[in-house]
Amino acid sequence: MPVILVSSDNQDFKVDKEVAERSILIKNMLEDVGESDSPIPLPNVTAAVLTKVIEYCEHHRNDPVQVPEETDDPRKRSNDIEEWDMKFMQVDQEMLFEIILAANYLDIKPLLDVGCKTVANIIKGKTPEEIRKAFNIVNDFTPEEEAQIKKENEWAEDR
Amino acid sequence: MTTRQEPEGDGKVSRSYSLASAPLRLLSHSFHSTANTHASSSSSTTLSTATTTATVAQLQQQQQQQQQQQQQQQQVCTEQQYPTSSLDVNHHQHYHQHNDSSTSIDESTPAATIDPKYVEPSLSSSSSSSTSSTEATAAAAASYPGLWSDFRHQQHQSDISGQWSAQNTANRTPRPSATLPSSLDPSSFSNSSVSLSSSLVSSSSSRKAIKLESTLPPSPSPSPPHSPSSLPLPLPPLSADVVAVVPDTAAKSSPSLGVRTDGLDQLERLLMPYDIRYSIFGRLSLQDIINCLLTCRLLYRATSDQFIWKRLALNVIQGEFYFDIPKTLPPNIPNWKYFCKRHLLRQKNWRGGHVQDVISLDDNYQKLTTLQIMAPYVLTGCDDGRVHLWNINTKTLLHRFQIRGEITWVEHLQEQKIVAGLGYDIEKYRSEIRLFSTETGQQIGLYEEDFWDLAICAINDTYLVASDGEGRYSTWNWKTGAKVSQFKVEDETSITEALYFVQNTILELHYDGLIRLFSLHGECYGRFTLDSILPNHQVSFCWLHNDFSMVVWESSNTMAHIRLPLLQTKSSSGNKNTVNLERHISQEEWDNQGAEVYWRHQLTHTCNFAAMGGGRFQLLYVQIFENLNDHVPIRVHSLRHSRPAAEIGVSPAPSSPRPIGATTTTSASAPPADEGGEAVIRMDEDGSGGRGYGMQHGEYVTAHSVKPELEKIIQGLRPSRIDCDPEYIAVGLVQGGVRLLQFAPVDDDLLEQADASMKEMHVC
Repeated sequence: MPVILVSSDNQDFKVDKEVAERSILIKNMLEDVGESDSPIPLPNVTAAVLTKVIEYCEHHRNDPVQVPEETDDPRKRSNDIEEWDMKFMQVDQEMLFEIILAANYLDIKPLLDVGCKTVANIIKGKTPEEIRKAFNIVNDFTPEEEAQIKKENEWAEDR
Repeated sequence: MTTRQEPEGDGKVSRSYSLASAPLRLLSHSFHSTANTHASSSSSTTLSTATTTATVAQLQQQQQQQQQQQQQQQQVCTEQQYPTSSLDVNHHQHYHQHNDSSTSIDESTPAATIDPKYVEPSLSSSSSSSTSSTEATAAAAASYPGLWSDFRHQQHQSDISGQWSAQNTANRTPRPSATLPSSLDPSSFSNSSVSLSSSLVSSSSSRKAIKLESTLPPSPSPSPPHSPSSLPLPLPPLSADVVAVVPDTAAKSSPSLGVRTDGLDQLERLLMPYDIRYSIFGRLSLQDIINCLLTCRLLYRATSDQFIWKRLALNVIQGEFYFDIPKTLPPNIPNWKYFCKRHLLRQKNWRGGHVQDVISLDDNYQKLTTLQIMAPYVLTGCDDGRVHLWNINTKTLLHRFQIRGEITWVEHLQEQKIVAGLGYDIEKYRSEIRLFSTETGQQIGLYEEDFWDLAICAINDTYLVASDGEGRYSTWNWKTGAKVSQFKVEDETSITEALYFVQNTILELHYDGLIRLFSLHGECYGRFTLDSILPNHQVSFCWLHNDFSMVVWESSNTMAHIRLPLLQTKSSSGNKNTVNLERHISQEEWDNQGAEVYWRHQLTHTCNFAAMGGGRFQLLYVQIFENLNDHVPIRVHSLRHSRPAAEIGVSPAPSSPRPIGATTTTSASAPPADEGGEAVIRMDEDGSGGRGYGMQHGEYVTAHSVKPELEKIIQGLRPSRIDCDPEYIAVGLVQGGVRLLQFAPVDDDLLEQADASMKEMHVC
């Protein structure tokens, strides 16, 4: 049975229940509401983003449900992104961020993970200046602050 | 020499330098000193007073204040909030946020006057204690509900998200009247679906709490007297915002179209939810995190999260210690960044051979004949039959046991609270084993045999085995005191060098490299040679590591680290050994399993004794050389695990032996590549998903010090025994006493903090 999702800008998206339930938020809602064909409003997600998210869920509709991570500190890696996901994440930065936020809101853990991995990969190995460039941000420290922060963190420098 | 003869019964710890004026106190062993840090960034208005007006005359007051700060700090931690909070009235940058359910706080209001109505109970008491009366301190300590024991994110992450959201808004908007993004939140939806949504939403959407979070100072500000003490602190002295947290749903507020979207805004919005922040920064290495926090204020705050630092810190020390880290960490580590820093520096010092301090354990010792360091205990035996158990965290002598004869073996079973020792009376040709309870201090067992020389022993949680080294064995159940068996093995070819329990199977290693496995009753399970690994048939020392790999010394100058697959399960959990050894093991099976060589190394000097320490993934070897007047007598050989740097979270280790210091170059010889760590790494990737026992041949370092006074102390040592763990090298002396060479950083702050924590313990 299809489910109708309504984006923040009032576009309707008809998706399979199986696909929609990749989102734990929606899954829980559906379970709670029971059989109902009333549309589900997603006021935090725009149509453009929702399109992408649904694309992801369609592709991963048959993935096994992720078991919750056992430990506080899962072995975080960011070099194991699937090829399809990698391509999927090749969007401009604003869209990337929106997808991550939507994944967080909709509680789609794998999508959140792959998005955060992508962002982490942007940061990895870069100098502060390169990071600023990558995210289009400026250095808002005063020179004194910057010097102090550098000094306080110099212990972490290459061993 | 700094050794002083003390009268019997005067168990004594002394620092050999630099601490002469400091009273004995809980010093910086292992994790514990990290439990009391960053006084100057702590959440008290007294901070600025303490740091800017500190004079000698005010030291005491300052200490009180710091103590209070610490308690507050820890209470902040117990509230699962940012422990790096700071409130500094000198910086006059209090942006106050209020949402519909909280009142605004006057800008000049000190923390102490925060309306307790908006403060969770224990935090409220900590706030009030900052009014700096000692009674309040005591009250705060009394109300201090416990330790920071719950690391789960779920319970509070959404609080943090909310805080984050309010925080950023506050900082980005130069007016106290900044509006919250929550005002845009479609809360009606969120509220109606709160029970449906994930637990992080529902668990805390209704929670309110005062959050204290450090932010960057609006102007460069560290006052001169403050600067030195801020060195070990994670954050600069910062202004702080007092923020009433908005419901969690605010953190998930919708992107509102039409908002200015430059890079910073986008990034800020992205990083608002805690999950996202942790998920991104939790994947980065220490170096990447440092680079992030240098980019801008936003990322500085985003990377100040304690869970991010906890992960980095645990990565730094992973595998170093014998014990399981999560089990042994003190639950009240308020500042993981400091923790991370301390241990990183300690590791650097190890590698650089930079001894930071020397601690003396003296009890009118005779020549030390056995020595075992297993944090937090040091167990020693000397040739007058005395066995000493020290706690090096508190630097106190816990027990002094007496056995007849010269102590040749000691063992401390921490879980069973047992100390066992073997004494050999050279005049009467008698040996005896005594067991003592470390709870009561009483002797609980005495075992003797009529054959005169019990040369070698092993003990596990139930059984005790002793051998004369030439084939005669006795076993006892030490819990009941009953003898289990006595047997003689006839096929002995050489003396037994090492005896161990692997579960209840006895494993022995002979001088000629023979390994035998047999049951408690003498039934032989297998008899195998290590000819391919130890061709010289001259085993002199052997250590069985707690993962059942072995380090074997041969001919006094060759060491090999080997793994017997027979003894090890393939399980990725590493230290569990569930393999069944109580069965006959055929030669064929042995041949199939083989013995694996992690590495093999030949020294150019002959080493008269060596020690090993470290942990499952890191081994430290200390060798001492006798009568080398021109040389520093102690050498440290460190073997570190060799997982990819990305996984470790720190910079990669040099991949080849790297001599440090002029005196080491002669003794560092590169191992053959095929026996080095590379093969092991491959095995690990195949076998256990990268969690395995990857080793690489480490660097040589020499224990030397930049400090001349330490240099002198080390030079003067005449070591008889040596052992080490990741924190210390323990050297037992021919002339008696133990010197602990400390590698963790010691500085005034550490001492102050340790001091304060000691006081706090008293208060508690």
